[in-house]
Amino acid sequence: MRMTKKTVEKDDGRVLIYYWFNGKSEDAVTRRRGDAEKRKGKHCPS
Amino acid sequence: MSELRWHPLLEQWVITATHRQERTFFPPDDYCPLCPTKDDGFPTEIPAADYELVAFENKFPSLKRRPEKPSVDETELYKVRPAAGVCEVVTYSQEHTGTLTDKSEEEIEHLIQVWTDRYSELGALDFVDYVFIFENKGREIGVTLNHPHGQIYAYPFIPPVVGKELEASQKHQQKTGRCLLCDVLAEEMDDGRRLVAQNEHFTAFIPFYARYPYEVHILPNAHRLCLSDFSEDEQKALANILSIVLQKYDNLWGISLPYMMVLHQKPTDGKEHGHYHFHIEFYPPYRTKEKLKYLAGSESGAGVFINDTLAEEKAEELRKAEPQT
Repeated sequence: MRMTKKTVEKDDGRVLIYYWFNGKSEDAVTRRRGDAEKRKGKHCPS
Repeated sequence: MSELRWHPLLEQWVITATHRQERTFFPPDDYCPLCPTKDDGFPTEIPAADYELVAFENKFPSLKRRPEKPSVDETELYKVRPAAGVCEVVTYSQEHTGTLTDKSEEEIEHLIQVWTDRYSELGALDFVDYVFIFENKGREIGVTLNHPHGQIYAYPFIPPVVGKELEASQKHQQKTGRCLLCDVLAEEMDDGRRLVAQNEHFTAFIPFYARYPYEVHILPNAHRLCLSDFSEDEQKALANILSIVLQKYDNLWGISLPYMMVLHQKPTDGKEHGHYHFHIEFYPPYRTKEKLKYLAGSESGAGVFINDTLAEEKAEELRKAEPQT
């Protein structure tokens, strides 16, 4: 089970770590969001 | 501010953390700092909304990576140190409601992976001697935020309870050549009356020496010192037995049972500690559905726990609670 993580520094200098599992990651989430945005306004051909 | 003050009678550190008096106390749900920040919402501790689990440094920490100078000067008798360390919060879910009990075994396995990652990363810091992973659940324990979460305290010293266990384990090893908790586990398995649940890799039981009525310990059947020692199969098995114990607790009386859950494992001070044995301890404060077990004079003033119940009887109750295995 693959774990990916991203460490960021909050505005006040505190450390925060995001975790994803099973092949998910921030990049994958961003790509999925981008794909969803592109599909907005498009309709299935009748 | 926070600092470490030495208790010369008990020979242990006390953390004074005055800023914690002002920490967030049961905010309205819309202002939960542990929920992810919504687009048009209150800025929480978690800026992004796309993650599965998150760990972050506590806003009101007892220990800090860059601690302040102590508020007082030390004397020969009264030692004082900056409160160096790390305090983290680990949220179990993006959802505001629910508990660890509601999570699937796979989700609990993810949490175990996060615990393992935090143990390794924080333990590698040169000022951290012990990574203490725990959960306080329920108002009765003193929880001040409803969002399901646990905590991690990376101490600059080995905490006294673990220190005592290490000392006892080492003495036993020197006397017998064997691990103390391996022997405890063998005795509990042989006796059988205090077992609560088992799987291929872990055993849950109320120990012979339980101090709380429903105090459950979970041990790996093999001699393992820390989270980093577990294989993937062992991580899965730990998730399984945690899930079973948590469900049994809630099914005991049909309520979401409060507890303290603590992980005891090898210190990260650079020494081997080969005589120690990873385990999880649960301290539920209720002795019946309606009655709390208080830590009163004998417990707090003398360190002597009074258990009003027999471990064998309480273990039988938990065995009978769903899920039965």
